[in-house]
Amino acid sequence: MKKIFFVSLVLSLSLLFTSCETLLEAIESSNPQTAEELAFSNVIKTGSNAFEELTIENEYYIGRAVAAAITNKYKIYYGAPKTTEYLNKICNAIVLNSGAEPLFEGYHVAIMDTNDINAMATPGGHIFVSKGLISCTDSEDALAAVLAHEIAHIQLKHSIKAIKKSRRNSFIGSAISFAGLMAIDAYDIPIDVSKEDLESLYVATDVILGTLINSGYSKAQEFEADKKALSLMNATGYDPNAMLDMLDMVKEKTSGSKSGWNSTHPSPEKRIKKVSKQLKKITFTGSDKSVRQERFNKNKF
Amino acid sequence: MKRIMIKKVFIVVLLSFSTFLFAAGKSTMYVKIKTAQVKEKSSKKSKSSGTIPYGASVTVLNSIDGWYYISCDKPKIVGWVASSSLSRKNVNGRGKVSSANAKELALAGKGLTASIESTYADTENVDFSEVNKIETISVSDEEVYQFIINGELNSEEQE
Repeated sequence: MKKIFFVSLVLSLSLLFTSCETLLEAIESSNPQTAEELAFSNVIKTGSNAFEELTIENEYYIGRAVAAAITNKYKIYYGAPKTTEYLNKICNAIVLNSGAEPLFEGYHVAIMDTNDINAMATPGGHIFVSKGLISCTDSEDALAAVLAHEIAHIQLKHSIKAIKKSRRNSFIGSAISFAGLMAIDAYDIPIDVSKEDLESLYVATDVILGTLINSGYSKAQEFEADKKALSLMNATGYDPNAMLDMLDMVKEKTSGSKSGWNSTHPSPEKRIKKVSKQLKKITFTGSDKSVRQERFNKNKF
Repeated sequence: MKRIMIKKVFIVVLLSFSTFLFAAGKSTMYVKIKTAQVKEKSSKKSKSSGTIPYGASVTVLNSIDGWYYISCDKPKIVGWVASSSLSRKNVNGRGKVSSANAKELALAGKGLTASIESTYADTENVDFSEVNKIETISVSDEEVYQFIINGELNSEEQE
């Protein structure tokens, strides 16, 4: 009963203070009394300083935890190993030309076994693309646009930024974390494992998953990823105009739908408008996408 | 007298600088990614002569444009490694924290390493086997380069 009261109090206070007071201040003003309330309060205080300087190794292990949650929710399709290998070659060709610092364990692309239009990426380099989204492409360059967008999210560290932002105003994330943190509290943790690290990992994973599956990145971050994706494509030798082809097909297939894609991304129309504007600033001098059409037709399922 | 002094100071400075250059040219670095590829030449296109795991120390013998020519004792190997794979900071021991500084390190999230993953898996009832399987999906540098050539794409290294 007390737990329900405290969670309700947190939610109410957070609603009241979202824009002008941090969750930390809300928790402190609620005067936690019980051991549970104190534990929750301590995690938020710890989290307020955590994640300030993550190494690529730290990001990798956060990414693995996020990837594990994704694979627990979505089945992975292994029925087309040629297509999977093809996606990974496109991905690595883009990464090679990106000039970015390497990830701890590199990039790995897997296919989600759903006809829904969906794609996700973890900070550890795990990229998930659905069968539905792959079907929205009719050229290798358009497929490269999908992967370049996810690579851009990783290289722009959008999910890591989401963790840092959450300590300021994500009362929903914190309430969800409460139950998970209580599970950690009840567990007999080995002596060489830090409880604070475990709680940090839980919170980080929870926040990133919430972003990927429920709220989506901010519109600004989505447009930033589109802009960077165009640059990545051009640097690799993929025609950046193919992103419009991909967005046109997504628009056609998601029109009027209240799918997960539409709730986590800006509308295709808005993206098309912004991408078209950005394309005017890019001069593509690579080979025409038709030279890659034969292998696209062979490798796409 | 003054000239002799100036000469002596100059020689000392020159010797110090030479020692510094020699030491810098043979510095110790550490592998900061999970597996560093060792190449026969300073190019990603070059044939791989082996790998070095995370945390291994290497001696840098030479450097060219984003590549280090290194020597490693464990495993025993010499060759070229991309500079972005190495760090001057000793990455070892980050996962092992004493109870005294655990909280401090946790504040920076620096304890988020392999050591807590199995505990995390148990507490949250999470299965990592699918993630492990996904991470076996990989393509070699040589395969990527062939893919690039066949598709008339760009490689970041210009001939």
